[in-house]
Amino acid sequence: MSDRQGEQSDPEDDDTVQKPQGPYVESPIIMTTVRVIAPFVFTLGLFVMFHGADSSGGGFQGGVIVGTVVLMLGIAFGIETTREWIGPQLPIAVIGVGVLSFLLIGTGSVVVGGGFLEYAAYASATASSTVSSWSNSQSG
Amino acid sequence: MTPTEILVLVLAAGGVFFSLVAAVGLVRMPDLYTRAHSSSKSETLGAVLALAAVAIAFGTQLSTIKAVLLLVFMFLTNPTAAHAITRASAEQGIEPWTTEDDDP
Repeated sequence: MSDRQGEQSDPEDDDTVQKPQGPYVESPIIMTTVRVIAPFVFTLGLFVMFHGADSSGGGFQGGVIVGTVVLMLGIAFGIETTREWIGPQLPIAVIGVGVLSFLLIGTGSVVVGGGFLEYAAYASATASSTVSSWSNSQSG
Repeated sequence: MTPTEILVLVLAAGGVFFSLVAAVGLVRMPDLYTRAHSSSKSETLGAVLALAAVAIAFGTQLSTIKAVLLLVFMFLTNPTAAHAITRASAEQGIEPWTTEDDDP
């Protein structure tokens, strides 16, 4: 009995192994959950990203959480669908904006009068400017 | 002990118990499906009970709201993740363990 079933299941096993992977079949449970969860996870990622100075978090961790949203969409709706939906230009644009913002912030402190990526220069610059504007308004 | 402390203790003990059950099931169960079964249900309940204990222990703070939000999302995402894993393994053609198979 068990031998027969084993013989019957063997070709099925070969069939499932040799069968090429068909198109991804969406699961309504996963799709619904991802639809509900994704905005909250995205908000949490941004929260962690902008919260890093004085609490747990930081740019890398927040970026990982935001990237998880894309992974969740890929798991729920299929990798190729998500790739087509995002398109080829958005990732390149995001990478460029990230590098450019770092470069601008870094060289901006040099322009203000500090070293490269010296954030204290911004604080002293804004403090002096506010003080000067305040004194100007006082005198004027 | 105040009633609040007793409630926190009971909830935390329940969380520890169900997490322990999930860990034992993960070690003792024979294949992927039964392991997902034990780890998803028991682990979800254990984490939710522990987070409820945390929320009650904090009292009325901002941390309470965070713990309750974490509880809700744990309740939503943990079974969904187990469903996704078992569904993917079923699509890959992984057969469930039966008593006709050899002992794992």
